[in-house]
Amino acid sequence: MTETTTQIDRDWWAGVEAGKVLFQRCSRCQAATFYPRFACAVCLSPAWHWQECAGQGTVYAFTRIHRAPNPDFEADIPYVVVLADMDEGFRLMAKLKSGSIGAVSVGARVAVAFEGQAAGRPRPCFELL
Amino acid sequence: MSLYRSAAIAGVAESRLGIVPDATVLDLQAEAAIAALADAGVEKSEVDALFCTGRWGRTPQLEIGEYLGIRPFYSDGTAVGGASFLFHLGHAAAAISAGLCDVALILYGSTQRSRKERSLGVKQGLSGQYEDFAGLPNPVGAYALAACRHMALYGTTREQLAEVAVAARQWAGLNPVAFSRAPLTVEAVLASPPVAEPLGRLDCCLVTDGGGAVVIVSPRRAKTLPKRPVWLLGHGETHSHMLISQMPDLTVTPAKEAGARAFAMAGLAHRDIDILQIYDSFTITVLLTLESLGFCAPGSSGTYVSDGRIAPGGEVSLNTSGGGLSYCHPGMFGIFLIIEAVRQLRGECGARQVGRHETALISGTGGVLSSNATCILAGD
Repeated sequence: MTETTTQIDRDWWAGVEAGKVLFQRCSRCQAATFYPRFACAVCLSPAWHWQECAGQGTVYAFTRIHRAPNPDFEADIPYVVVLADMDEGFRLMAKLKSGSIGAVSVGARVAVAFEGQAAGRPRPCFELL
Repeated sequence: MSLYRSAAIAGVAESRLGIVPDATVLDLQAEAAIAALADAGVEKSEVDALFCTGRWGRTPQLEIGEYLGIRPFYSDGTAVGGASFLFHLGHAAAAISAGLCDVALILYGSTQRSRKERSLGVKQGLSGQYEDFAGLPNPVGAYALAACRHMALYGTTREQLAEVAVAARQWAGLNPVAFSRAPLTVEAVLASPPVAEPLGRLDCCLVTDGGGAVVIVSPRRAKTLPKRPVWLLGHGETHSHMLISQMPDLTVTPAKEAGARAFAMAGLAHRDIDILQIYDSFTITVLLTLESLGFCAPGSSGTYVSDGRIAPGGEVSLNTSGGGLSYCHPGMFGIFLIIEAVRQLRGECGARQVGRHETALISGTGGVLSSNATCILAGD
């Protein structure tokens, strides 16, 4: 990981290792925040707690990718990237799991899954429901 | 405080564009600066404010200031992507208005084409670790997501997106320094290799080298110029996010707020605008910006740009240089929006000169629909 990783980042990635997608719930204004950060993105309160996402959301937008941003993704081309509104009220972007069956569309329901990489930690992805 | 007529654009110029292998990024900016100062009839010794940004250096103002021998007393390197130079224009006017400087020079240059610096996978750092696992190529993937959303909500088609690229190419055919001038059809755009669907290669801006420079002066200095000054009537700027997954609504860009502020400051309405220069990083960028600025209703931009309405001879004079899609795109295009608007307002555009050219609106978008500055300009 980069030198910019903090305890907050490490806790979130530990969640991924355990098969969870965590997000922050503000203890003051109750806003859901993702990606995790030092203070609530709405009211700037540093008082927040982790919650576990149930893992389901609705496709807000998607794109089928033919040019990978880096070698980690080249073997998967073409693949679909989904931007989904999770049921808890935050937005998550992830790849559609390789080999997913079915046609993706805006409004389709998706569930968080994980896929391994040759090197490194599992990465969150989506499966169509 | 308003910036209405608080500053004037006195001179504009490009450097060599396209593929310029034997020049550094500093050379291209020097070339553009020399030409823009000559265009303005202003001596380098008069320059007391410097504005620039770019991916080429950690401290670009220090580097280019030293290279050109300019000692500024106002210096601004606002870096919000390709829109930065329209932010600089507003900031220069504010500084002039406050009496902090008289003659500002805005600069940009890039050698990304010759040095093969373009990358789809720029490390986003810090918060980027929460997007990197998605494998989205940036910025094209982000704009593709916005295009997908617009199509799903409004039924916008790839053909309508292609109209933007086709019109840009027709304008480029009238611009002797444009990079891509061969005629283009909607069918050819649709048949271009997909990059991030629904966007194909020809929905994407060029990758070229090039530089530009703009000279801004105070109203006092504007009284004795060889050419008629171009006045800043209105300016608005804002930014809403860095990561596309943090953008509230992918079909409404920061141009909405920036444009509203610019119109209010200028005291003008949409029907008063003769010329539009809209940042066309991708075909979808133009559609979303037109709607966000209020030139057409949400969802109707596909119709607005179709049937040759934005092509030469059409009802709307838009991106008359050929834009980032066909004229040049050295990584950031904002400064070239200013340059073309000024030339059109002065009536210097030859074969592509538009008939009505008293007012122009320029709207620059940076990042992944992240930032926008919109300026309204008028001839003397």
